[in-house]
Amino acid sequence: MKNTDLFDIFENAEDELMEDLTEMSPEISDERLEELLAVSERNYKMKKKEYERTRKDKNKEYDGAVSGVERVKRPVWLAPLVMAASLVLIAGVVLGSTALLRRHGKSGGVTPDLTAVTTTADKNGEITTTKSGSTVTVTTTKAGSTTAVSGTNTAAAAASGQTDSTTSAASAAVAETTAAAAANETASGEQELERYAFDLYKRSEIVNDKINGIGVSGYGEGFLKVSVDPGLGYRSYDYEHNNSQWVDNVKFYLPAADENFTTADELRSYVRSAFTQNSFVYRWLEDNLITAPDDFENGGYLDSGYLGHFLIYRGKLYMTAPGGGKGSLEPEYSEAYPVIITNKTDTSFTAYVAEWYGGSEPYYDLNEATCAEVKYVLDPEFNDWRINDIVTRPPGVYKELYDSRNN
Amino acid sequence: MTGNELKELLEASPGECHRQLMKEYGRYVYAIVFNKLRSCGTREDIEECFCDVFTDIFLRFEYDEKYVSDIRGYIGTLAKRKAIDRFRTLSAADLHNAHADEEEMAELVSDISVDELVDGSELRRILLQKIKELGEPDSTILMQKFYYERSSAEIAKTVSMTASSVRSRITRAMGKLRIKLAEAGITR
Repeated sequence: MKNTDLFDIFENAEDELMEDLTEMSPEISDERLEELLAVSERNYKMKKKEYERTRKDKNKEYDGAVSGVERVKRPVWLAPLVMAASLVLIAGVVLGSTALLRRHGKSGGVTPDLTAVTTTADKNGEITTTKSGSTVTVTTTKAGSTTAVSGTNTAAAAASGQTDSTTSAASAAVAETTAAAAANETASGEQELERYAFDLYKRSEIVNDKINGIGVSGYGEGFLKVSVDPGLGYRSYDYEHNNSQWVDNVKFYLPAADENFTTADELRSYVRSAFTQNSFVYRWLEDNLITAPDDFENGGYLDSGYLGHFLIYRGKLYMTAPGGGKGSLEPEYSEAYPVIITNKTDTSFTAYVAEWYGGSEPYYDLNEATCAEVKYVLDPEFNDWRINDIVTRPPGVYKELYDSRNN
Repeated sequence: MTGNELKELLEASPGECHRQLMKEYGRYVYAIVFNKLRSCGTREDIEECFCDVFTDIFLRFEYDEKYVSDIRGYIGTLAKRKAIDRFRTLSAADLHNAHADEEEMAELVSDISVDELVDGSELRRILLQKIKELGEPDSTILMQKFYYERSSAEIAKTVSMTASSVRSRITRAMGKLRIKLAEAGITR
């Protein structure tokens, strides 16, 4: 028999014994702690670099690669509507151009006025045609069969040429006007999209906070107490006694009563107002929206399969409430550094948002900025943009984009 | 410190936040890792795994907001998973480092067998209770000696005694424990 048989039985001990085993474990001396910390820090830095690099590579890969098939459903009335809108646009351009041409013709005074033509024939057989205003004089002498065309006729020809050039100038002016209008429209459209993207991003931050219990406008009366497996190591604020104490192996839920959601369906809709169904936030929500078994009674036990952030109990929505408050560090934004949009297609685009955490105004140092890379897609369910993914990029990514855009 | 306070500290000074995390949860992580690797790993293996756990804690604490509200539970789970992974990779061979005085103490526990007791969970509970009934510092000395496998000299430092005093306390404490276990029906 080995001499350690008796104490070997502590191996693979249940988690509930870990507290006692921890209390009786050897102290880690400050010196040793520093050594272990140094090793952990070194490994952490290496892993962090690796992690960031992998994320970068992954992003690059996504930028260039297309995989899978995205099924996009569009309403049936969309196609005829778009066609009708295109026709109206084309008709508008044609009519506008014509109107501009006409206006130019009148004000230019190049086209000769139509005036009375007088033709006289004398006894010698000379026929004189006089066109007043245009000073065209044609004299035909029957006898000598001579036709003389006065110089003013050339002027008429020149006038005709002038008319042609006027037509060209008018066309150019129309084209220029149309291009400028289109450019303005595009610039205005881009600005509008930037603003929209920014507002949606800020909204998504609030949505994300709220479903995590940050900034919730209120909770309903009563609580739901759930006993949990000690192995899970749960610790929860004691809402039963509300005495600023925390209790082990218990999970408390409070009824959801935020202004935006009090039911599971409202919660789903609230998240969908900013995120796509494929987004990590929505998927997290679905993973954490769990219905308690019918026979569960308040205070009873639930196994780990039922322990999500939200619990639907007898049709009512409950949520985990952060006892003692859960603060959120609000980012700051700068008007000087607006959202930058890239990779815009009909169904997606990426926006880069510069944000500053901490520090004081004015926020101008882009090297200190954190860059949020936000992927938007056109959500067929709403025919509107929704956020599909948010990745925090290292400081300086926004700066690079900003510099390349402005140079 | 609460998860939120640590998170705020992380923003201000990541290094200090990591130090606080290790100070606060170091023994807890060590106890969990040791518990899983005791039978197959050396002390170096255990410390290496300990560092791996904290490397992961630092990373996840920075990138994963949702663990802030239940940091202890999260750290416990992470440590357990990491230790189990390490257990699988380590050889099952007995790589324990025997301390010089371990052999001397062999006879102290050699007459207590638990082979016939099938309910390990119940036995662990009884044994821990009987050890705690010995009172401090004897309970800690016994656990550090026979479970954590520390030498008498190492234990002496932590309980401010001489190594010879530790040895004599171990002898007496094991005698008392044997009687208590016999009363509970645990004997050869």
